Amino acid sequence: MDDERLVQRCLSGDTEAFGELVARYEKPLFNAALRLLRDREEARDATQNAFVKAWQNLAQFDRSRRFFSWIYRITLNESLNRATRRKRSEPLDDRLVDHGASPAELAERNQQSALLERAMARLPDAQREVLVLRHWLDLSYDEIAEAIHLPSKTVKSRLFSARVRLAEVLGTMGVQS
Amino acid sequence: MNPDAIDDLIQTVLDGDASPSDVTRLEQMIATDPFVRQRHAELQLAFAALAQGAKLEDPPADLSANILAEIRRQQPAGARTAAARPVSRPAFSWLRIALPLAACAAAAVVLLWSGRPNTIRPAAEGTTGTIAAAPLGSLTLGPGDEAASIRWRKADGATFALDLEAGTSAVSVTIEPQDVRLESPAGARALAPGATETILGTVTGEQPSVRVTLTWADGRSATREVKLSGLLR
Repeated sequence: MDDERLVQRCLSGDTEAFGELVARYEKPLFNAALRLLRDREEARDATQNAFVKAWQNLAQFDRSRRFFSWIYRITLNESLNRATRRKRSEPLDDRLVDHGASPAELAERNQQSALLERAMARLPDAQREVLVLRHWLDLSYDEIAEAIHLPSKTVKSRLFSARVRLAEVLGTMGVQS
Repeated sequence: MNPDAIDDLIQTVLDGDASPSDVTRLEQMIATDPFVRQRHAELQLAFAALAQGAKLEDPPADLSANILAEIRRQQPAGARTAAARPVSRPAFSWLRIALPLAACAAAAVVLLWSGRPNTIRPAAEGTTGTIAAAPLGSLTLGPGDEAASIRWRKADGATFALDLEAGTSAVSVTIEPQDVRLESPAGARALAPGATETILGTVTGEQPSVRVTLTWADGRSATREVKLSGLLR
């Protein structure tokens, strides 16, 4: 069943239909929040709040747009608000640490993923966001443009800058091509 | 070819969106132009790292159950906005103006008839109203309808308030504070099914948080740390 039908059923009071939407999008949205917040507990809370806000405001959703783009915006705002609050209370070095993973989890985690995660943490939020949407969530340029309300051309140039910056950061970490 | 066009070509090829002729063109440029070769190598490094390391992590196993438990506590979807409500209009639109006018006229007649405006009673003394602060955050812990909810917000007379609400099962709640002082005694508190309790506290340090542990009658338990850094604003 497509998203539009599910949204229609939700508006009729069908919570099971919303469960379908949750099952469909909790993973990409949780990962988007996780990449921005770098903390599993905070990402969990941001994702949960985003879904609850989506449920509360579903009547405002413009059904000519993709549901994912809409709820992604909600998740992004929720994550950025949390990140801003946290930045006011934590020193910079603490923010570069992954609070969500124990030493044992880090040991188990794929080395490449851990390396990339550290490099991503040094990118500006806007650059990290487009990389996440493109490479983690596998969205097209047009889908990214819709999700973050930017022209496709701007998305493309921002992605280029982000990739160049990521390469520079990886280079400073000793990663060679 | 200018640098911007070269960058665009490299990115298009690495994205896998280029035509075969563009791929061939770039290969020729890489072979002959050191600048293009260097640029391509830089971007290829980023693409390779992303291809190997960009993996989706599984969300917490109870995330979807907690979301659904939370929305079942809420009003129907979209109920927060007027757009969702069906708008009923009277068959005769002039009634929308006439009826309020008639009501005002009737009220004026009553006032004039009494001739004693002072007989209108003021609100009873001691009547007060409270507008609760919007929560800074919330979470639900536990499976399905048994899940308990915890909300935290700024509160008058204290730095913050934790609102606890049990689900359909009784639950024991233990709160371990860090950089905060709770106004109620520490230790486990029992909540009956559907019961609510508010705990007040003040922030005492730079990293305020509370560790909330819920234990149900059958021995299951769940623990989460609630960061209260938003209270420092």
